[in-house]
Amino acid sequence: MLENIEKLNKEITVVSALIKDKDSLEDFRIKYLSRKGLLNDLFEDFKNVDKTHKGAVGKALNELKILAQKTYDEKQAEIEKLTVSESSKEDYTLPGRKFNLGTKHLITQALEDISGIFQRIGFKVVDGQEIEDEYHNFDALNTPDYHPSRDMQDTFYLKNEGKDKRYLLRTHTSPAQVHIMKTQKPPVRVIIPGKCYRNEAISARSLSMFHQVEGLYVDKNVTFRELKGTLDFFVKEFFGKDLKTRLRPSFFPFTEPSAEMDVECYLCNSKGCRICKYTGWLEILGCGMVDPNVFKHVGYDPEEYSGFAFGMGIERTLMIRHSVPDIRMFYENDIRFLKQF
Amino acid sequence: MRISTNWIKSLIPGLEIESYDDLFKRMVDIGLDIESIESEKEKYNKIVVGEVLETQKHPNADKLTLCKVNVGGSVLSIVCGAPNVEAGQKVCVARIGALIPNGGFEIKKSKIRGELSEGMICAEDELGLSDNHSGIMVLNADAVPGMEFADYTGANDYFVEIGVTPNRGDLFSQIGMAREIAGAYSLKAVLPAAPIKESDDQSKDFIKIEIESKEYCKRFTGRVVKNVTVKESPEWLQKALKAVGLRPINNIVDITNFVMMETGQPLHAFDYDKISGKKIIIRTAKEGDKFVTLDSKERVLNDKSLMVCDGEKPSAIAGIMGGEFSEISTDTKNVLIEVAYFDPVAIRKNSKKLGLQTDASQRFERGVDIDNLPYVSDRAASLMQAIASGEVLKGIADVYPEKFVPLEVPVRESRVDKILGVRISEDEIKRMLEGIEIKFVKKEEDRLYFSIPEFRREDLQREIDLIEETARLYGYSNIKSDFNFNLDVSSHIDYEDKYQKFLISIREYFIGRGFNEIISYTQQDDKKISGFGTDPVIIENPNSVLMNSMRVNLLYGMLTTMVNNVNALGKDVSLRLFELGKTFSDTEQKFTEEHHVCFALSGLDDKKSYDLKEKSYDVYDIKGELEIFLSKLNIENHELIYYNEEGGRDYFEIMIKNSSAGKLFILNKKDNPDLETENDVFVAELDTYKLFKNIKAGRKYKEISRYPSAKRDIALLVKSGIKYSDVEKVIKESGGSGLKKIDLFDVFNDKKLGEDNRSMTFSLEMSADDKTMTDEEVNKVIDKIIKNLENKLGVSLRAN
Repeated sequence: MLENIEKLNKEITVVSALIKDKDSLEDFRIKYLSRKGLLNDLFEDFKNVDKTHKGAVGKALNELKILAQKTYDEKQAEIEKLTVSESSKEDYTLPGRKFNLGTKHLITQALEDISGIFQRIGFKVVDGQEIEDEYHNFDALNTPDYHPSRDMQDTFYLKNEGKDKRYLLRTHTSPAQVHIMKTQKPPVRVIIPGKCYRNEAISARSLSMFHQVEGLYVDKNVTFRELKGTLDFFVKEFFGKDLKTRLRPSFFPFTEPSAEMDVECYLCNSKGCRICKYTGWLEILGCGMVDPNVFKHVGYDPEEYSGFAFGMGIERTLMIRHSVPDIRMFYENDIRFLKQF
Repeated sequence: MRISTNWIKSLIPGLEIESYDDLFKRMVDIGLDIESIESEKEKYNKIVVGEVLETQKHPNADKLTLCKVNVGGSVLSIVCGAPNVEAGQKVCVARIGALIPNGGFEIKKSKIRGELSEGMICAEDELGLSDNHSGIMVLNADAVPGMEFADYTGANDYFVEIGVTPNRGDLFSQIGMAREIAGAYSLKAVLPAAPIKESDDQSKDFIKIEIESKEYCKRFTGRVVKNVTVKESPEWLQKALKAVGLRPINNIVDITNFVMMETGQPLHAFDYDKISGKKIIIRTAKEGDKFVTLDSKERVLNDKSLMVCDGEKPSAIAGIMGGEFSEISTDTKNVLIEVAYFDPVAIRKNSKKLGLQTDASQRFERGVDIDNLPYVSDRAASLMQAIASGEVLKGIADVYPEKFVPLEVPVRESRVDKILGVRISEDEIKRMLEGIEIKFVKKEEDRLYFSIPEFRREDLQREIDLIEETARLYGYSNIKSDFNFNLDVSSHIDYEDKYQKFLISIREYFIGRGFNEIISYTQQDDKKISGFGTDPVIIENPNSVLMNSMRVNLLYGMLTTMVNNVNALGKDVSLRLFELGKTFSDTEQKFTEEHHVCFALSGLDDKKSYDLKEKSYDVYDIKGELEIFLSKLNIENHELIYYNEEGGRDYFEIMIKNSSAGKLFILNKKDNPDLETENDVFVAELDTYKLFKNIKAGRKYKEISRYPSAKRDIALLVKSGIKYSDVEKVIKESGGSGLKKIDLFDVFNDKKLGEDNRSMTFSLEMSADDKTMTDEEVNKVIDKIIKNLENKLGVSLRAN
């Protein structure tokens, strides 16, 4: 009997927290306090308790009853209070006054995000020029005139009446590397986000303007291993999980050895899907060790210094990550698009 | 570059491919950029060998036949339209679900003129085997019904499209790819033998070669093949060309193309009888010379155009395209095979100038294998003998004025370590490089010298080039990543960190004010952006006239965005937009870039609710935004100067410390007919660098008065012609240091006030820093203000 009382005591304490409205309060009353309730049943049983125990059991039973009644009274008061305020004259269910929500463009978010990741490991953010001359965009980056590698990037040239040299819209953020190295000695650790231009046909997949983030690290004893380590860190931070990466040998005129970096396709968990062309991998950036010819152009001794550089296009990666079907949506600036991110 | 795995296999003796997936993985690992893989077998999916058991005339169509065809295990009813179908034939049947290789349509169960058809008996053209559509393809009698057609024809090839980087001209060939793949299997790729039965006559007696432009043509070989029969190529040759994406033409041309695809060396076949003087001269053209290439187009040459000429006239544009006159035709009897080495830069310049890129120029401009010219000539001659029954003259007329000295390039083990961060032993380096035919020559001190094969001359010239090869062969995945560098950065450089942060803070500010950030195109139509007083930067080669110049401001992109949104969402849309970006101008000597911020309002005020009166944005909203923005930056000394251009746009010059920092535009359809929206647009654009330079740094605490302030409201009658700014100026001057705040809280017109007069009601707040102002003191200030207003402006207190 005492055990049953103890059990019920605990049960009431737990159940009381669940009483939130009139209905649950009434359920509580019927279950414990009504004529057919559990407490009444115990009082019925009490009649059969033998005399020696009646004192102790009776005391416990009375305490239980007080607890149940007190719980009921308190909850009743609480609920009534709620009911009163809800029925006051104001209609608080009317919508709040909402003004326009400001949003950051998806591309800016990515550029700031990426810059931030590299800033945490000691990179400085630098803004390059969008109009460059041929020397900085090509020659100083080991891409001489009449070398087939010039064809890798279709270039917009500018009408240069009155200018001393040929100018163009930068085809990559890399010329900023040259400017930076020409103005300082190593160590250099910079990240250069910005717009680039290539003379490509406009379609859902390509535009003549795109955003790139360039990185450069030059010091004594920088090796391919640091390149891998740094980019692995970036991938982990940017994608928010430990995605597998791989480097594939490739070619860029201004780095050697050069590589393309792939991450495992996070859309299909590298099982192979339409987006990763059933390879299980997504290409995200190009990278490599700075070519000694670039060092010669900026006056660094390639025997003393080494370094790595990387560059990644932003739009393609964002299209995949956010399922944006058409690259033009980034620049059409439909507010229904802008407000989604 | 497209390769055929069967062709590659034929060039690597001993290669057993157990798994194609493994082959493709090895290819990726060594840096072959696979763009697509096509399986020949998959092309014939659900296409099988069938046996025609019986035929019967179609009851409703004269030209159709009803067939019962055994496809191994089952018998299908097929309606066939071919005239040559007969019982007992072994045929090729496309079953339901098959995609017809030529045309791509799917075979479905159907009724043809009322009769059931459960497949299709194929003709050669439908299978993509030839152009023959005269009847169904009849297979060998021993073909087994039910067998897959792919197995019957031995269709087990894979066609792999590989992206070739500009440094690897050698990979524009099956042998180049085979060398790479062989390396991955520790095997060697070998070119096929080229056996020839030469006649007694010597090639060199039949053709004289003279190189005038030794600078551009480093070696030229000619070989004569007589009495060829020009006809269609045999099936194997046609198949090989199709496998790599070329169209068969005739046996002679096909051989030159085949050998080019095999070796990477372009070659040209001339009709020998059209070569005047039996003489070849390699020289440059004269500026303005004209020449008709074999695509029947007339090309205008220049004095750098390298030409292959005969005794009288040009016969081909060297390394780019042959001429129509000496092209191989069905009447050709005797052939001159040209195999040469032209200077990469010369070819590239000429190809660019002529706007003519060909399979040949693509290979020459990346550099070909000068050592391999005689082999290529032999190979082509050998095939012409075998396929076109040609009589091959003895030897090659070979002019090679200055023999190439083989390149020897050193590598230091220590340097490999410095770049890669991995110790790779000298033996290991030797072993790996020799695997791709880069031969170890000698060791001097710590340098290992390697001899570079001619087919990689353009690519491997420096130590770093061999380090890359070493890394590639070692496997990038075998180089462990490390992340343990020192975080010091040179501090003697001004990275303008503060300015970068400033730009970010501007962005955050406008987002906080409920603006949506846009990024618009920087390339715009020069016609649309003229008239802003700035010369735009013009693009020489735009890809569209609508994007032929660089923006001179952010305004135009903002307007375009506004218009697009109104068009998409209707005129009731509320637009609060901003952009941060660069603008460009052409200032005679140089091109200039500026950072701007542009923010704009249009349409309905976003502060709307069921209990607020709906209103459209107006000029005072944008003015307010501008003023809050400048006060947030703590920029003092700013003013707006209003301009109303005749027939033009209304705008304000935003002056900071008496110098323009930007403009504020009021644009409406009435004054700007070009504006493509009915909604007025209010735009402010500022130079962010000027803002940054004008921020007052180091703010100091200003005493907050501990004494209560006094408020007085005054209602003024302001006569027409007098502006708010005039009134405010007088109040400010008259109020002295005790006047802390001037708040205009009501303005209205009323006929009772007199035509064009306005009532302005101000709330003025006054306080002293050191005491509570008495009523008397307050009234004294007010009186002075009123008196001055009256005297200076004729503004009086408004009688109710």
